[in-house]
Amino acid sequence: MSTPRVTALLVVHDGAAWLPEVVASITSQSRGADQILAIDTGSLDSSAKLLKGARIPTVTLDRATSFGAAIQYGISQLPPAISGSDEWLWILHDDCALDPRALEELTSAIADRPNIVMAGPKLLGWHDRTHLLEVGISIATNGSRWTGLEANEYDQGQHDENREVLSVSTAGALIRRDVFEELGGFDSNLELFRDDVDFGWRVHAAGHSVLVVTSAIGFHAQAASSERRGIDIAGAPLHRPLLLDRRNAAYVLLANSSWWKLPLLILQLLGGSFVRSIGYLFAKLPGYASDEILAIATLLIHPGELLNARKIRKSQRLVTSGIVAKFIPSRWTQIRGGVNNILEDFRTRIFPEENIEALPSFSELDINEDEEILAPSSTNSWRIFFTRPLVIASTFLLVVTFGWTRHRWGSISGGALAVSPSGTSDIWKFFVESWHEVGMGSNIAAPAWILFVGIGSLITFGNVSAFISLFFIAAPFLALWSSQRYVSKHTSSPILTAAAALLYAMSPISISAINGGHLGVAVLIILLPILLSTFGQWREIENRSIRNLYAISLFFWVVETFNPALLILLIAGSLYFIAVDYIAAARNYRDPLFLRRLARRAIVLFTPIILALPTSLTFIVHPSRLLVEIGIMQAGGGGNIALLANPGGAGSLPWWSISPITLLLIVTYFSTARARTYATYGIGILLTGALLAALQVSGNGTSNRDYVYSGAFISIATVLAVTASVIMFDDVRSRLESSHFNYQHIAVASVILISAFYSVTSSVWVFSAGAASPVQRHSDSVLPAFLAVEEDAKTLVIRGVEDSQHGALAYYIARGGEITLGQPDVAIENTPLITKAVEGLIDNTGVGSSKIFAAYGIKYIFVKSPTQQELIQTIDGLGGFNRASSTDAGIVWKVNQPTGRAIYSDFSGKSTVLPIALGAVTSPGPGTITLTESYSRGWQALADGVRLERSKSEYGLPEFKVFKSGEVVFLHDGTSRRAWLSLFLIALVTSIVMALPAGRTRRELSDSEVS
Amino acid sequence: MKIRALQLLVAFVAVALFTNVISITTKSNRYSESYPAVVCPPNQVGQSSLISLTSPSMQIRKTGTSTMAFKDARSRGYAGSSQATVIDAQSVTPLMWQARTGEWAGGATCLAPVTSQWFVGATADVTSKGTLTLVNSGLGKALIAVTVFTENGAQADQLFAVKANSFTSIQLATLAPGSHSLAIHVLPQTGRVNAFLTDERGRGLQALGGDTVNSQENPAKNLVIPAIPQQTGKKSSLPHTLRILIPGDVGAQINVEIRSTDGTFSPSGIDGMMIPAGKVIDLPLDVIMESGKFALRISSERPFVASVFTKTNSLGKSDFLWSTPAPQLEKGTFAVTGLAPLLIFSGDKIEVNIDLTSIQGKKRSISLRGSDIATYQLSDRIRSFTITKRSDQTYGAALITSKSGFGYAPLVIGSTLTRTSIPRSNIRVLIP
Repeated sequence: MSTPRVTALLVVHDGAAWLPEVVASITSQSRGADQILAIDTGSLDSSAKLLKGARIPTVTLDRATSFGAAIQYGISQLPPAISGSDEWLWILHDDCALDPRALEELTSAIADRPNIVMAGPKLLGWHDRTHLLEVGISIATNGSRWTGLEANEYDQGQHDENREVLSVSTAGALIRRDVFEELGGFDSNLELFRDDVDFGWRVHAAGHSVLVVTSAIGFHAQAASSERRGIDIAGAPLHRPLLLDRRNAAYVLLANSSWWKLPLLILQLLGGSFVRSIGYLFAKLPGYASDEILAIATLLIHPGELLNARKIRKSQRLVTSGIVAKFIPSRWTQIRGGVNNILEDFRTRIFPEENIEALPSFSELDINEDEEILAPSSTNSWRIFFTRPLVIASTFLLVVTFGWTRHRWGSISGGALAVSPSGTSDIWKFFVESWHEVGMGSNIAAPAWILFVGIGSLITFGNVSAFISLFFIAAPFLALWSSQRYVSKHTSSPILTAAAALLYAMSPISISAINGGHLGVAVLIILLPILLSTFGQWREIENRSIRNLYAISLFFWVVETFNPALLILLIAGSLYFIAVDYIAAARNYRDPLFLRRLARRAIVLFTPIILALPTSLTFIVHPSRLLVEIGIMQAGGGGNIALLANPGGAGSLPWWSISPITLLLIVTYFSTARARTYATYGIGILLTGALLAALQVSGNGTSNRDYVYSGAFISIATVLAVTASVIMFDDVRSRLESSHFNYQHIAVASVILISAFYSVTSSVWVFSAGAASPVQRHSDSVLPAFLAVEEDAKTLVIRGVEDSQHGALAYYIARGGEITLGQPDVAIENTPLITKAVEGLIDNTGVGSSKIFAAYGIKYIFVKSPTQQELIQTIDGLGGFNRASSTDAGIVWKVNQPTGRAIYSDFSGKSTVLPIALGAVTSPGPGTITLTESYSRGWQALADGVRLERSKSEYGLPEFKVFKSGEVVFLHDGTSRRAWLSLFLIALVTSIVMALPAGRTRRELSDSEVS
Repeated sequence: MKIRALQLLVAFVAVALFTNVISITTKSNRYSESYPAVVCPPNQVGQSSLISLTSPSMQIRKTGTSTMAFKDARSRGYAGSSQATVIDAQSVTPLMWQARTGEWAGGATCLAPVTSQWFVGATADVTSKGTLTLVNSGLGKALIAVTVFTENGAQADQLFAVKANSFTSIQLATLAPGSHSLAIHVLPQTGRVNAFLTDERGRGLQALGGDTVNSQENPAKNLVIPAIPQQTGKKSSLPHTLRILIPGDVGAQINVEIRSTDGTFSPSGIDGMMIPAGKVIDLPLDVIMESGKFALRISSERPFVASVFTKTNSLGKSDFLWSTPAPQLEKGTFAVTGLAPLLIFSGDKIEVNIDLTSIQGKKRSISLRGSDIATYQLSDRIRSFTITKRSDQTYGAALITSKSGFGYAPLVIGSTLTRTSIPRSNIRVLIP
């Protein structure tokens, strides 16, 4: 075979920064080009001068000339190709330097491969020459440029192997001239970017192949795509690189793919652009976001270009375009690559510095290879692992948890924890709906915390009960993990860290929260150490970035949705700091520093409040609601036990298991200044919590007033106590050794003794009695099966409940099943009429109770076992109720009067129950239809599309006047809910965008990051 | 540092004081406290009755009427009618005297509705004219399961429906035709139910006597029948019969002990006897007690029910009486206007203080002390007596005598104070 003749075509456009090295690399090739021609597209810098200095023949074109056109013009300046000659074009960029052996390797690689008409080098970074940029290229079905490499992959020769690829970059590509001319060169519609992929695709379709030659190396600065120079090409819309790149990517896919693939490709391109544009918006890069959308739009509004391109390709095609399928990454590969990138990004953010120093490090110089070979394989690493204090603490916790949770493997409920809904979809539905079928119905907005439960349930594939069980089992471990990360910042002692973390994970508040089903407090206990680690320099808030403040506010909002009581601390803390700022500003409210601080404090204060709308509005009207925790009201144990940092109440540790938390706070209060700072805050918050714990409030869905569960305050006091004690103990040994026997020795000894006593008593208690706490696995239902299946039937459930002091009878209206997560938060109290009617069942005065129950649509009375015989006899004796069943589960009476969800009354007063289907009833004639739901202005009834007049019935229910027979449709107007949701979403997205780190344009990336 | 310590101490003490002060507010649970109304049985045709009350203003109503309103009794000796009488007697337990004039008489304690009643007594043979009366004093329909045990064993449950505020009487002969020995278990499934058993016997036109059989609530392993009359002064004493039933599946041995002023002993032939399960057994109790009355203590390894049948003669006419077990004596007031009962207490060590109230309202206290058995005859001027103090393991009953015959009423509190919490709205009820 004859020696190939190589013509180098160097395209130059403002490339003075790279050109000297590029020219040097070209001229120093071990196998030089047979001729060289530079095409300068109107460079404004010194490129032309440099070329002239290098004595490279140069032609100059207009500045708006595209890359393909420049090449085409360069070829036109060459002598015509001699038929049958082996002539090759070596395409060179002005920002790509070649290894001296590059051309030699390229030509030798193609020497025995007649099918190869295009070959390119392995491309490494210009600045970081170990950074692997490309080893052949392809295109993903979403338009991404696909290299098959990891981000910033280090070149260790791992990809070194000549192989056929879809295409190679035009930078340093060797292309057979006859084929290039035969195929018409680069597509004139691809002024810049993706012309290489397109050409490679066409080469394959024409029956040829493309080869990447990894022994040939180029160093590419990627100046255009990394926005190191402007895009001056005439056809480039808006001269934006990303826009041009995306547009050309779509063009390549749509012009070269088979017809039948086009619909899916278009959808994928549109979807991908949409998702990426949202991502860019979150990264605060609206320009890139618009590029994504415009790229597809500019392409689709000119279908003629595409049709023409497909026509040309059809004429040139020798084999099917599907021949390139093997080079196109599969969807699974694309997804895997995307996920890997996300995880890698996440990992580098979470662990910014790989914890290499934590591992034993060896200098290679120290290794004696002989010793290494002769030494027996060591198991020390396992021994070291299991003797780590944190591992010991975790193991201890694991053993305790094994006994502690033995009744919690399954669907759990009890205490403050309602039953889990059947699936995540129920949670989404509950969150967005404007009317909740709880009791007599409620239009209270669903709390935001339910969203996080829904999101968390995705871990268990939408199984909410599995997630809740898992969470309550894992909660001590998560608390251990988060606290040890936090505490380790205050001490270098792993033993102290592990002991403190274990104390926190097994603290009275932690045990109480888990045993009592206090989901919010359990979440707080886990997140609190993370939240606290973001504090510091709070006084000099102006030193914090806005992004940081939004991030903290968002985090606080998450915690606050689970613990409304934290708003008290937020408001009090904000007011305190604002007052301090004001005084520091010499009471000058116009002081710039004061205003700057005020603006920042306002972000922290108002962001969670705005995000919590409209729930936060109820706190203004009813401030006592701040003291009500989420879920079912579960009373605390009062103020006295709260002083021991134990919230008390069902599931809490008994008082005799003396908690060391308060003692720790007191002792550390007299310790070092740093420890005292934490102790002071801790004591203040503990005392506040104790004060609040002595108050009584009505909880969700109950008229009972009970002791406040001040878990949030005690949690904070606990973490502060642990922190203060860690700081104190960190250097206590040296201090005690260096001092005479004094009160400090006694204090430290008593702390250690009480902590040891507590660790024993608390562990034994949770292992034994603690396992029988309110939160348990329940497989049975509240209602008998036949009541649960009857839709729209309300059942008044009466049963004994244990409150904080003694058992009592309680009732509520069931709508076919148990109360599920979130529902207690929206439940409203029953009307006085219902309450009176229920009381009548007990005190034997309820002769008219059945009539009232029927008016409210209550069809059944269910007294759940164990029953009180007197109550049974009273209901039996009252009249108006027929026994429907009497089983071990309890006794059911059916209300004697007809009732249902919609009750029709004609003008003579005769009532009929209307069967309701899909929210519609058929009115038999003129009269009034009463809906047995709580009154709400959202209730509407439509007859023939006309809205019926709504009024409030004597029982406080919505009733509608109908004037003729026909279908009447009921609906609850969710406009207001939708408005709140919209506001929430806007506030949430804005906050997230503000909290996220701003993305950088490619122009802003450093050279080493780009290439 | 001392200042810091002082500050800390003050803060903790202040908070502790404050929390305890505001915690003084008591729990807001509310309770409904009431004495359920007691029910006295209706009269059968030809019967008359007298219900002893403590006050003419005591509230009464009758079943079978449309009104549920109570009204004043207007008399301390209220004459019963053909309808059951519902009395809002509060803490007072009315005793009732029921008679078929010249033929028989019987005493009964008016009780609030109970969930289970056992009647041990009566017969369903050819002489039987007795009835089981089921009273539903509530406003809802009552469903009542009746199980009849005979000398041959238990019969299948029979279910009776009784309309609201009404009663139904069932002839014993139809319940277990031909059976000589009956024990009946009445188990209301729904409703406010009281049951009454009248054992009335005759052969043709000849009246053989009758009595009301009082009920006991549940079988027990130890029972005391505090008052069994023994007519003395005759050449031979009239016989007694102990009727006993072990309702379970396994029989058991019984131990019987007679207590009287003549001494305490175990009757031979009965004590230690093996009783089969499920069958009503009549055991002759041939004892002659000179003192004229005695108590019986029966124990067994298995829960059982029992009563003692006593033949009597009144003015030459044959009559009989059923003495039934009484629960431990409780403090309470019994209305006995016009009855002049003989109170009999039984126990190892009897210490009972009684306040007597005469018809004129005068009060007098008496104190009874003794062992095994103690009696006190109330005069006919006494309208009520109140047990103010009683020793443990003491049981009591009243024996009443009239021209028509003898009667027996165990001293059972008719209506106890019921304390039920008024339910509060609490969504917690909807979690398992």
